[in-house]
Amino acid sequence: MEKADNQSRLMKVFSKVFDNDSLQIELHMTANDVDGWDSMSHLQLIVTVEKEFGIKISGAEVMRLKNVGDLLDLINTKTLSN
Amino acid sequence: MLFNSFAFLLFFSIICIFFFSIPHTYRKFLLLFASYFFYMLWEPVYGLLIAFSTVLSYLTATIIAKKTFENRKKYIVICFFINLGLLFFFKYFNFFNENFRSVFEYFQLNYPIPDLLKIILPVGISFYTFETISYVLDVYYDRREPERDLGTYALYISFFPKLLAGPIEKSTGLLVQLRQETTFDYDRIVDGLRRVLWGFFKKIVIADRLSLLIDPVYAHPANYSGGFVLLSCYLFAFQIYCDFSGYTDIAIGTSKILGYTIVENFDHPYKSKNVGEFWRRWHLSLSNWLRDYLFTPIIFKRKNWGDWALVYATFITFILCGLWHGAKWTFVIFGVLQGIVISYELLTKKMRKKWAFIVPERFYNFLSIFLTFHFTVFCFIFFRADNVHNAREIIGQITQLDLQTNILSQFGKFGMLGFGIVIFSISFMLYIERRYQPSLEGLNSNSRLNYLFNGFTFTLLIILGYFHPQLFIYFNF
Repeated sequence: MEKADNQSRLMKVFSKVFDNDSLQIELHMTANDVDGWDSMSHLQLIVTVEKEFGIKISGAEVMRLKNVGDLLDLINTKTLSN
Repeated sequence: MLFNSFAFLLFFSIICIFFFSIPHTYRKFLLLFASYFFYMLWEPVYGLLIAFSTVLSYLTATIIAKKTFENRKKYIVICFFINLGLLFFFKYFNFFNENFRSVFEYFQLNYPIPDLLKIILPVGISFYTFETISYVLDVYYDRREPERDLGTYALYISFFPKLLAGPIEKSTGLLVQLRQETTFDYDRIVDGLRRVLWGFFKKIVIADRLSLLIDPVYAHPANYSGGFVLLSCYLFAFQIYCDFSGYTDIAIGTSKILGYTIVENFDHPYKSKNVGEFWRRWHLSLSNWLRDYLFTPIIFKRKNWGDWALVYATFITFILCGLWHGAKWTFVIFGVLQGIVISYELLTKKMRKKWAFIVPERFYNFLSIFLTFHFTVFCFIFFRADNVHNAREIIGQITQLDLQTNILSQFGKFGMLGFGIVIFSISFMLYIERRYQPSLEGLNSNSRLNYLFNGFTFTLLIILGYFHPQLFIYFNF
């Protein structure tokens, strides 16, 4: 239940950062699949995720993310272990 | 051995005959032998250096893959310290030493470290060092498994088409392909040959011929009027593009003949609407490397700084990008100029989006391309100049606004005919790349148009080429 909740909250974060309510994000997607997902929006995305979920994500953790699914897994690990 | 030499054509022809005659299992040994032979012709000892870097990065990746993420750091620190140490020693030691000595002498202090005479920069070291680093970091960040076969890994680092001046290949691209069997495919080989021909055209007809006009101007700017120096600066933008993208065309073409796809490095750079976009179209493999392994880690290390993290990361990235090209203050200035403008672009992104809605689109686009191109031409003065004094001389001549001297009288030995040839050749090159893409993918291998293109370009190459092989500019980096 909480995992599904995290996923929908993450999708809202994407809509907010990319300023697009109709943005369709799939878990296998990477920065190459989304228009406007550049370094600046990637930074905004991670900072907004940290605020939204009340977690801290280190630089090394960001560098190990391969796709949206990895980001969701990281959020789940950090929020569900608390 | 230069790409633009008959020795290379002979060497590559022999490699191709053997490559397609032997089973897949032995091909990597052939290519590895050929690559080291090709490299060691420059200086035999270079072979030991690249072999050392290869083994070190291979062992580091193999060891860290067995460790937990938390225990990996010390191994990559040692690996990078040695690999970057070698790069620093060969490329930057004298530069930093001279500058430290100047500071000590300014304060009238004794400086004990002498300059090491005759440190010869091993050609290609900046390119293959970046490849070894990207491979180790990819394993470190769990983006890929370590390569088990040292021979295949060594071939990925030393693969001769891209060894001397890139493109900088990611381990997730070429390394994977080198394990796969390639076949003799006539259409693919014809495509590869056409790409090689196009590279020769850009290098021999345009870049090498332009060097005859531009080199004397940079050597003695005072001998030329401001208008002529300005013309040379514009033409240098096309010389450097044709020199470097010509090299890349030959690298991509020869790889394609053998059945391997290496990354594109250029995508109409002078059509960029801002400087950030320019770096997404110019020397893409370096830009992507810097973004993935330097810029991104820095912004996430400093993410609490907000937008200033971007500015900080931009400056560090572009100063290092400048210095990557060579140990000279002109390259530092080149990097700082890029850093200033890209920081401005990042911080004003939203405001500029609003402007784009207000101002008529065609005018906005034209103005953006115009400004970006002129900024690039200006920055290339520092890129090309021998030193800061030389760059100031060039800018000084241009700003004199000398309208009295007739430009046409200053072509000297180059002549109006030479100028006509380069203008025609540049126009032909721009037309072809606009219509069929820089990769020429728009030309169908079997079409009549393709035969016409090959015949026409070959004829132009023979008639208009300047056949006195010149070093590729990027070999100096």
